[in-house]
Amino acid sequence: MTPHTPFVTTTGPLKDHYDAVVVGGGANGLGVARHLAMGGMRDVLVLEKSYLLAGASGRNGGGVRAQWGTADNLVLARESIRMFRDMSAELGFNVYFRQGGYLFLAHDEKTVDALRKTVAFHNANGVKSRVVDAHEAQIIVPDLSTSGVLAASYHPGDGIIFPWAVVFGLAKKCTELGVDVRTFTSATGFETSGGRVTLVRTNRGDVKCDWVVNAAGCWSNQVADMVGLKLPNTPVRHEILVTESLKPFLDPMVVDLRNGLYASQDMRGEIISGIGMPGEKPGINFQSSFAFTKRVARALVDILPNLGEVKVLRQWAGAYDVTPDSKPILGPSPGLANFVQLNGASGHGFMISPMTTLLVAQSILGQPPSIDMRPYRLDRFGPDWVAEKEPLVIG
Amino acid sequence: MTTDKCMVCTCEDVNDIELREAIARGCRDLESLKRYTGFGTGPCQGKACVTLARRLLSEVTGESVEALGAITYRPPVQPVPLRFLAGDEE
Repeated sequence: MTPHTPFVTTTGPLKDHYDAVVVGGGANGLGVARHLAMGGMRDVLVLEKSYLLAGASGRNGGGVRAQWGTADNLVLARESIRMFRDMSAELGFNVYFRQGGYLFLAHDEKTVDALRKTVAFHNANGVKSRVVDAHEAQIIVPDLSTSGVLAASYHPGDGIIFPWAVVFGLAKKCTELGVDVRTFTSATGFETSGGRVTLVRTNRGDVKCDWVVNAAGCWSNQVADMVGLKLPNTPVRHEILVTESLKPFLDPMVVDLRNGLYASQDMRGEIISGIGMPGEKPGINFQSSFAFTKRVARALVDILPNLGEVKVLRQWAGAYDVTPDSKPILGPSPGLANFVQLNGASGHGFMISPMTTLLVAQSILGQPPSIDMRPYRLDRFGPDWVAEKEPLVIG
Repeated sequence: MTTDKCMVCTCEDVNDIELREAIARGCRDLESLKRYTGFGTGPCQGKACVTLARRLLSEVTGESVEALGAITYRPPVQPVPLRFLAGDEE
């Protein structure tokens, strides 16, 4: 590809028919399109209703960690880390993946006990995390205030990535593979027949299709509504801020388990930080709040006091697409076999996207799945379903 | 020595040649152009560069500057130290 070949198109006619139409141009939508094209699918269309990065793929904090509390999330994240390591080379585009680890801080005995159990669980599942004491935590993060810190869990293989670069790199690779990547092009409706979606309506005309992938993030339930399918997903706002750039000083992502604060230093030197906001109401809301600014600033300066003089440049909001068990929804839909879900990742959709997109592409292409997909399918929410709650959703 | 290069975003060191390349790659709106090149993401948050980038985008694409609009400006208006925001009370 020469430097000036477009990696995304807005105008021009769509084809009459596509093998697969992917709704959503984020890391998941573009990722599955890439795997489908690599698997030999000829005509793949990605519909992005706005600009690339308008959704959660452009609004998340870029954290990538295998330190999860349930096996279903852990395995997706663990395998995705392995895939992120290869991503720059595979895409021909630097995605700025840096494995500086994740450090989860515990300030009370109950949390320390939980961390010890979690670390044993990680170790039994191929994730080499360990419990460190406050002294070692401060060696890992010299600027850390150990006031009240009893212990921490640390996994050096966790890291951060630059989400903007991932999405642009995926768009470039998709286009090279012949995928039709369209921005400012939205799915406005579907036609179904005999338990299958047969046609997608867009603001640029109708297209026939063999497969539809719903990778619309916090808009996934709206997309599913258009075919009369109910998803259990709920969008919930989460806010993040970024500071001016500093010389590299913060190796791992630091998480404070008292309040859901997380902070990392990206490859541009900025501190990226978010925090859970108790009482946040469900709904799509990208407004910034000063309540968040105050809460995150206080929590951040509390664990990293030297950041007090560092200036905030910008804050923004995005939405988690939250499921009842904080696990993604992947694969075919009951009653609509070719309407495939790739959503509901509950705040970790970006970090698990290498693996979720591979699994969904495998299911469409009829290839054997890399791991058992049953825990992620929409039909898991049947009458016998019991929630195994993921304890380590942060933010 | 002089060159034809023109600096557009001094915070993030983005020049007109890089913007033209990004436009040619498909970044034909300000939000895409900002994210692909990084212009407007530094300490000034676009105050000094958005109008220049918009004029260039308008020239290349033929879209009017009115139609191109602006990037989403986000708080704070000026960079603010975290300790001021942390404050004393909830």
